[in-house]
Amino acid sequence: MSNTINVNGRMKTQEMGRGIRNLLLIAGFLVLLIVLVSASTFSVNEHEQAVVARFGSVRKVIVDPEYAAFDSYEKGSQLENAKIIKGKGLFFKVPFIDKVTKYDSWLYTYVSDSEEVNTGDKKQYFMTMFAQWRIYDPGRFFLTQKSISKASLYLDNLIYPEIVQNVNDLSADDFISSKEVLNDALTNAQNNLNKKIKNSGLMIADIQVHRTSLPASNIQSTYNRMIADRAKVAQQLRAEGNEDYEKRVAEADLEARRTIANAIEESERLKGEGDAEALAIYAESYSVDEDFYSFWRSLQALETSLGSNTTLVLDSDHPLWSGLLQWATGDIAE
Amino acid sequence: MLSRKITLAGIGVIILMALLMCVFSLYRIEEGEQALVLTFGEVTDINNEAGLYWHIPIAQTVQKQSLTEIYTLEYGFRTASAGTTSSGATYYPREEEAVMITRDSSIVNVEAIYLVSVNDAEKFLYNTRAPFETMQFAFETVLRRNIQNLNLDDALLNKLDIEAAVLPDFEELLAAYDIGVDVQEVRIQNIIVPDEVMSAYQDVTNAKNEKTQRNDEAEKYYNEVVPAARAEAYSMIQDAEAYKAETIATAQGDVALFNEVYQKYILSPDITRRRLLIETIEKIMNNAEHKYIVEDSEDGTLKFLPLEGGANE
Repeated sequence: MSNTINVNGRMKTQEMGRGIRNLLLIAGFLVLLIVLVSASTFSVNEHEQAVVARFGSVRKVIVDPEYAAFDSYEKGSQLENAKIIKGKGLFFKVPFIDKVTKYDSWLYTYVSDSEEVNTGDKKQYFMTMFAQWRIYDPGRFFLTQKSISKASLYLDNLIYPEIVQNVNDLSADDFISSKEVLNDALTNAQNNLNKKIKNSGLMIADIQVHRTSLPASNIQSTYNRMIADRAKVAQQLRAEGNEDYEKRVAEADLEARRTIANAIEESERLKGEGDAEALAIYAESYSVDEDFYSFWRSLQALETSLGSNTTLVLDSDHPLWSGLLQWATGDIAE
Repeated sequence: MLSRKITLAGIGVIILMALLMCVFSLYRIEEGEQALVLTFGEVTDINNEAGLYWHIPIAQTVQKQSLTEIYTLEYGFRTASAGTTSSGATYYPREEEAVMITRDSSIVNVEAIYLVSVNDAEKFLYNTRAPFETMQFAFETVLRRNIQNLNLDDALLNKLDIEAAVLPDFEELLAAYDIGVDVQEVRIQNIIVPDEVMSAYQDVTNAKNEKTQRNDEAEKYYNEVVPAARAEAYSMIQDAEAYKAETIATAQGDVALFNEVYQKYILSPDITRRRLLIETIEKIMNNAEHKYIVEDSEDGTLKFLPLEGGANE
């Protein structure tokens, strides 16, 4: 009984061992397959390009179809034998022998330090610029630059003097304020640079001066000038305000006096009219008997001119008195 | 028997793992999102339709990018903390960005924002290494160049014109980079003179106000003086009119009186004449306060006769 059990157990153990061996075999095969596939393929992402080199010599260059406008390298160059493939995705290589180097195909931004620059008319500014650049030919880049950091330094050494030279020819006014002139200068610089860097597999897509500032020593004097300028404007405004005020006050005075003058004229005229009319009335009436009028009017004058509060000192012969006496006595005498 | 079972179990595990991978390879596209299906890194499918999708495991990956999200980017300042319902947002300035020179070599501080959205995920993700950084450089270039194109006074006053000029320049530059974004809006938040010269600018504002004030004062003076003169003129004319009427009326009264007297006079001229004379003397004598009659006698002494009005004393 126990034997059969033992045999059964041994048989089970043997069978189990065989099963695991099969399983390991399958697993090992799968692992081998994966290693082989991964070693003989590589993927180039949407923003990437690649160089495939065999023992240091470039065999395949996988370029971005959008930016590489060439189908083969010229005869006699180091890349003569390299095959150009335009595209992205999955590619094959010889495992363990081919070495793949990938470079990005997208735009890199180079930014300069803030540097002093003189314009054609000897004005100083600090400017900072940036350039958008890309690797359009990973094959040439692989041979000449190898790394992005090396390329950045290479571009820095080229771009800055080129731009400075172009700016030196511009007047300050053009450099600061003329979009067209500056753009022309930058495009010119860009074209020159692209000729120089062509063999490095690089191209500059755009250069811009993004920041221009005054040297620190000029800033205070600029502030002072702005302040003086504003002070002038303020002073002018105040002077104008006073001038306006004085003018309008004088005008108001003039208008007032003219109004009064007109009124004087008018009132004198009215008074004259009144007087004239009164005279006419008098004349018309008194001309009836001028003699009597003179008499009557003299009496009135006498009466009004010798009013109350008068002290009369009369000679006894004075007509006022004597006449009265005479009339009185005469009348009696008669 | 058992070995086959174990092999089958192993295969089962592998199939199960494959199934699990398939399940994990499901992905969802939200409304407004664009999904790029990358097969070994290459874009092989672009999908804008919201829904549930599946990609091949290992060989394919999916990159998603919202096309509706609006990114607000700041220039010349940064938001330190966004406002909440109970507190306002706080900002801090970025002097080195904000300080700009103008055409007339003055200095101005400009703060701006720009709003962008992605219109092409592939271009946005793969055409530039750092799209937001690139946009910031492009914006700085365009904004500064437009400010540099203006004299300070124009720059300070024409915010809307600057926005209108920056927008197309910015769009043009970004189009050249093929960056896959739309510029929704460019907004100048603030355009002011630096603190150092602020007081001088405020003084100009004061001077403007003072000018207006002087103007008002002049108007006030005018409103005081001219109507007063008109009133005076009016009263002068009224006085004259009154004088005229009075004079005429007096004349008419005098004439009427004269005529009356004259009517009597012509009836008996001598007597009336004398009566009038006597009456007048009488009145004079009555009216006079002190009356003295002096007589020049032959012996040279002055005879003095005071005639005091008995009733008056």
